[in-house]
This record gives sequence, C-alpha cells and structure tokens, in this order.
Amino acid sequence: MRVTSRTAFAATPGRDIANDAPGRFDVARWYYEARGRVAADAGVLRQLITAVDWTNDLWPSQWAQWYSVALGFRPDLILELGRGKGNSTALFCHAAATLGHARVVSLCHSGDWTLQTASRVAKIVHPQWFDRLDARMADILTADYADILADHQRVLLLWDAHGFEIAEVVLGEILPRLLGREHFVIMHDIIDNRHGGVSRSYHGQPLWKGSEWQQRTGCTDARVNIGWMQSIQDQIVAIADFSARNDLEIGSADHEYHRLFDGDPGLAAEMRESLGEEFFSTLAQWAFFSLTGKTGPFEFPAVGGRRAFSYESRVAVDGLSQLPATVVTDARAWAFGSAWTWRPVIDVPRGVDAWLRLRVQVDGGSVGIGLLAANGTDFLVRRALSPRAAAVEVMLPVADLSSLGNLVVHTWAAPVPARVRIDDLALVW
Amino acid sequence: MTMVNKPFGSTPGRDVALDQPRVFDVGRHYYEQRHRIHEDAAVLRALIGAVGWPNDLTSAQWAQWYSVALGFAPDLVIELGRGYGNSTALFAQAAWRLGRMKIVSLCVSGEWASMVAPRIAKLVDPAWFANVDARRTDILAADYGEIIANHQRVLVLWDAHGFEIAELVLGEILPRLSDRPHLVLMHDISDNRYAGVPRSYGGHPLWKGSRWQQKTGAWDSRVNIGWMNSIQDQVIALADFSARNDLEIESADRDYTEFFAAHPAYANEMRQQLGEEFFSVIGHWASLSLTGKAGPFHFPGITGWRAASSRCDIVADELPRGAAEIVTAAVPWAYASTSEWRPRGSPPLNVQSWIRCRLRVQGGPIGVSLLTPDGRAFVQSQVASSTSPMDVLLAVPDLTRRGRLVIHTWDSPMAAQVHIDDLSLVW
Repeated sequence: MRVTSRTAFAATPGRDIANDAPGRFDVARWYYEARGRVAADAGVLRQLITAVDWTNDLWPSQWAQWYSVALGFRPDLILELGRGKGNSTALFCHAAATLGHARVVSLCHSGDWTLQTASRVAKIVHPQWFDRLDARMADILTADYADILADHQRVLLLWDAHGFEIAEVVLGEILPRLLGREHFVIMHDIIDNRHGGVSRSYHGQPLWKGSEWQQRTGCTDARVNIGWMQSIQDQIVAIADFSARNDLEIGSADHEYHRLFDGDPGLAAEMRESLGEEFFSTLAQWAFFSLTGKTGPFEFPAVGGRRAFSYESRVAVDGLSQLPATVVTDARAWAFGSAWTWRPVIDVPRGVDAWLRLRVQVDGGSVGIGLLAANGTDFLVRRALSPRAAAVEVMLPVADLSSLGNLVVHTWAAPVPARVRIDDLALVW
Repeated sequence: MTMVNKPFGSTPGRDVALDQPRVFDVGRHYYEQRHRIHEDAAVLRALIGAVGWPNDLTSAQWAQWYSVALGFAPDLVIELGRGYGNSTALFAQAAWRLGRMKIVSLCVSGEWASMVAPRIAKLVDPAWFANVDARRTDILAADYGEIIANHQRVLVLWDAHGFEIAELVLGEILPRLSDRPHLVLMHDISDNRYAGVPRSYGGHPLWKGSRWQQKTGAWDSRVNIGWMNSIQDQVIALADFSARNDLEIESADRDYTEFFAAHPAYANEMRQQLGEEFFSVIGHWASLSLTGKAGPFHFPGITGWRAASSRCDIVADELPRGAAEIVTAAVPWAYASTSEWRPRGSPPLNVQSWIRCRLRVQGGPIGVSLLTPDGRAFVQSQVASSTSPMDVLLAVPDLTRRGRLVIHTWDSPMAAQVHIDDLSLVW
C-alpha cells in the first residue's frame, strides 16, 4: 500500500474535489515574499530566540518560516495549541505586533511562559507587545473554542500539542467552527520522508507503538511513517484518517520549500543572501492543511466528552452540602484547595463510559481540577483551567466506577491564589 | 529540480524496477479453484457448521482462503490466532486435499481443542487431524526458527493483533521467510475503495488505538490509512513497513473486484458454480509478500525476550536439574509443582529478565505461572499444549523478590505429562 489519500474511498460518495478552489495558500511563496521583513526583524527575532532559550523545540529557520506564514496569511486570530517555553508564542506575538491587528490566544498546561520566558521577553519589547497575547495555563481539551474564535474571520491555528484526544478536539471541535472563516493549520513535528535524506531503516529500533508506549518506555528513537509523514506522534494517524475520509491533501512544508527553491535556485540564492543559513532553510519538519476553498461536505469525528449523554446522576460530595460552592486555592504552586470523596447518588451500570461533568468559574490564577488514583497521590486525570469571566464545563473521564478517586481542586504552576466557583456537578454516561 | 513524490523518494532503497511480477494472483486463483470449492462445498459447509462461529469468517471468506491455500500450495501454514478455528479447519481441509501441508496453529484460546475439534472429528477421517499442530501458546513466545525449519513454501495467516504481534511478524517471521516463497494473509483489513465502508465517522470518536478500543469498548470507531480500513494497530505498522520498503500491501477486495470486473463471464461462472454463499468479491483481508521483490529490506528491531543476549540456568527446588517430568491432574487449575527458584549466576538486577521454560506437553493444556512473592496471585501465567518443543516466557518483575514457579493444569479437566527440557533465565 502506497498511501495516497486521493484513491481512498474512491467508490463512496463524498465531496467533489473538482469544485475545490486552486490552492490559496503558498507557504513557500510566503517565505520568499517575507524575506525583506524577516531580514529587517532579524535582530529582534534573534533576541526573542535568546530570551526563550529553547531552540531544540524550534530552530531559527523554523521561527522565520512560521513568521512568514503569519505575515503571509495575515490572521486576525492566532490560536496556539501547545506553548512549552514559548518559541511560537513569541514569534506569533511579534508577528501580531507587526501586522497590527492580530490577537494571539495560547493554550498550554505549561507555566514556563508565565514564570520564566515572559519576564525575559519583557526586557526586549515594548509593554504593549503583550497586549495582543492571552497566554492561558489551561487544558486544550476543555477550552471554550466558540468563545475563543468568537467573530474572528481569519484564523491561524498552530497544532503543537499531541495525542489522540487533542487530535479529536482539533478535527472534531475546532475545525467545524473554522469552516465559515479563512483558516490555516500548522502542524509541528511532522517530517517529510521524501526530503532531507531521512533514513528508511528502523536502525535496530522496535516498531513505533504509539505515543503512550513511547512515553512509557522511553523508546523515543522509534518513528512511524504513514505515506510521506514521519513522526513520533499519534496525531499523524488521526490526520491520515481525516485526510482519507475527506479526500484532503495534507501539505508538507518541506516539500513546498524544496519545490520552490530547488526549482528556482535564484530565489534560494536571494533567500540565503537576505537571511543567511540562520533564517533560511528548506528543511521545515512541519505540515499544514486548510479546508478554506475546499468544497464540502466534510466528515468530522465526534469528540469524546462533548457528545450528548443519555444518562445523568447527581453526585454526592462529602463535606459539600450544596451548590454552588466556592473553593479558594493558596498562593502556592500545586497546593490542594480541596480533595473530596464523591459518589453518584444512583446506581450506574458497570462498564459504561462515564464522565464527571463540572461547571466551574475561575477567578484569580490558573487551577487544576482532577481525579486522584486509588493511591491518593497520583492523578488519573486532571485539567488546567485559566481564569475566565464565564463559567466553563470540565469533563473528567471516570476510568473505574468501582474505585472513585478524590476530586481535587488545586493551584496550578504559578503561585497565584484563585476562587473556584462550582455551579454544577454530575456523572454522565 | 527533483520532484519527489514517493515516500523516502530521495533516500537510497531497494530497486523496485528489479521486482518480478506478483508471485500470486489472488483473483485468478479464486477463479481457478472454483471446481475444487464446488466439489468440497458440502464438506466446507459441514466444517463451517462444526466451527459454529461464522461472524469471525464468512462462508465466502472460507472459500477465498481455501482457494489461496489450494492455489499457493504451501508445505507449511503458520496460523497466528485461531479463536474458534474457522481458518484452522479450512487450512486443515486444504491440507487434506493437497496431502503434503503442515499447519502450525498458535493461539492462547482453547475452543479448538475443547469444542470444535470434537465436533469436526465426527465429520472427517481421523487422519485429517494429522496435519494440524494446534498449540495453545503465546504467539510472542513461539520458536519460529523451529517452526519454519526447512519448509520451502510458507503461508502465514496473521489473524492476531496488536503492535507486539506486528513487530513479531515484521521483525522475526518475515526475515526468516525472505529466502523462500511465502505469502502473508492479514484478516480484518477492509479496502475503503471497494468494500463500501462509509466515509463518515458516524458520530463516533476518533479511533485511538487497539488498547484504547479494548479499554473503552468503542468498537465502532475505525481508522483509515490510505485504502486500509480497520480497527487494528497492525495497519499502522503495515503502513510504516510499506513506506520504508516501497512495498505494495495487496488488497483482496481490489484484486477480486478488479479481476472479476475485467472478466464478467468468470464472475458469472463463479456465481453459478458457488452461489452467493461461496462467492464474493469482497474479502476484508490484505496480503503481503517479499517473494520476487528485490532487497535489501528493512525490518524492525525485536524487543522483549527475543532481544535477550545472556542466559543462565535456573535452579528450582522441586524440579530436578536437566530434563524433568511433571504430571498434572485432571482438575482445572490444580497445581502439580510449586518451586522456589533462583538463577545459577548473577544476572544484573536493573535489566528486564525472563524465565524461559522449554517444554513439551502430552495431554491437556497446562499452565506455567509465576506467583507473587506472597503466593496469593499470579504475576504472569502462560498456557502451553503441544507435543513439539516450545518455549514459555515469563517476565520477572523483580529478581530480588521472586515468587514461586508453578506448573499446573489449565482450564480443562485433562491430565498431562510435562517434559521440561530446559529452564533458564534470559536477559
């Protein structure tokens, strides 16, 4: 099987790709056309890269590539899924400052940006540089995307957080909301095995067996290839599936850059002259796609935890007599504000796919809400929530109804207290 | 400018221009075996009835694999995954027909021996079973060097799933087969170009791997990798292997649909002779073979006990040194031997090690199990039943806290003689 999404589902009615508009977004052309701007901003980009100080996540040439995408696409919203130390946060903020009209919403568990990077960046940029940024310590799975996307009309999405659950949120929750507006999705950590001399060999490594296996075993050298996509992320399985069902081409930045700059060495020479090897490379290791200009109908997956549930049980919480209830967390990172035992008030059939549903409003700092394992120390699941004016719904999968771990509300990574109002609590299945 | 469109297009690899035409034409063999299928329809029908589990394999799939076995005419069939024994029975019938085919069937399940074989025994000559070595064993522990031995034409049915078994097939079995004609059939892979599978997710969540599926019971979620539609992790491993080796994974759905679309008269003959019962152009299976393909090939590394490079003897207080013989009682789960044990040597404590027990079993299925140090539960338990020498592997969680090693009856009330040829620790 040579994976070509063009031929998958060939005999099954689907969208008519003949009606697709010609490709509207040319990442290689954007790179070339932004060379002057990148060269002019090279000094500040270099300073920002130093302030973030985590170039193994994103090289300077990748900074320049994504900077050129932002400048070329001209979004009014950049939605960043996964921030880490904040390479992309910084470069997109700088692009937003350059464009003058874009907002950046960044979602990540990590507190590194808030606790370390932002203060270093603040020494380089004007204070207003931060005005466009909403960097939340929050869970990508529980964010309110209707609220985030609001009336924005041109959205650049960076998909740089991994795993099947996040893939499901991107493909099943965010993409359908982007259909009515221009959008462009960048996916990090996908290598094009057609370029750059990527080895065919397994090199004695075992088969890649999924991201969870990789994290568990530390076998980070095992990689998987699906067609031209090479990665260590589950995400490419979900993308290959989505691509096949929707007869949708996944774009390769490596391929596009090679196509333009190998095809016209003069352009490559100009790039090298303007940007040097530091900011110019045809090696990208990221992929992209967009539904903009494509005819529908599209197929989207359902999102676990956001589906309609048939059954619901009130939940009895020891020490909590009524709702709404308020928990106050300490100004100490990770400190527990509450740890409750709980149970559904009616019998729930064994073996059902059950979720604990909370409606909460957070004021102050970021908090975590999670379920402990039976040992009372490890979390089976937890979600980070950033302060918002409106209440949000949090869904926690309940792995084992016969062993219900404590429900915990705690301070997140930054030592900032919070008031957490719990409006509703139910078990649904 | 180089336009590179194939995976690894700019990386040196095998030269596909040197590949010979396909070694085996699935569509043509279905057609060419129509008379034999027709002649054997009654016995096939009786066998299908005896197995009594048609939702694992439809009658048309029986006929398709029967035609593959008769057409390919292997001298060895390795069956990975047996379940109730649909494929075991059809391959045994093919072996009976051909007269020179051995079937080694590996599976942990016991339905074949306890339920299906007795029902089949009422239908067939006793010698029908002589070609079948149906072992209850862990597929991951089997000795494929011993199984493949000097066989020259091997058909593998890959009908047990998960990444570990994929690694075994692609990294252990295929390299052993690459020097002899072989064909690997893979069940539970539909071709979304032909099999009429819906594009829609159908309101289901993303497929998130076989382990997730087993945990959540979300069986309606399926994954599509190119044309392959499945619920098995295996298709990810196959796509990877295919890309690295520039190797076509063949689709039975496509082969049958296109062959019979190109020869409508043949399709009519098939319908007339076999009826809808035994003729369908949809198979929901795939195949691969390296036979006739130019190398070099890339195979994944092997993990677990197969990667072990050191061994030492194990001393067990209830087992005599060297070959030992134990008799288990005709009582399910009854213990026949419970041994304290220790490695004769000083294996490192910070690496994974395994107890490797090489044994033969005459009689009912037995278990080889490792108890927790307090003796209250099994850490790991493996079933074994074969008169051929076989390995049982038990991972040792902590060499400093060793639970006892138990030889016991398995789930059937059948006694057995267990010949232990070797007991080692490997790491």
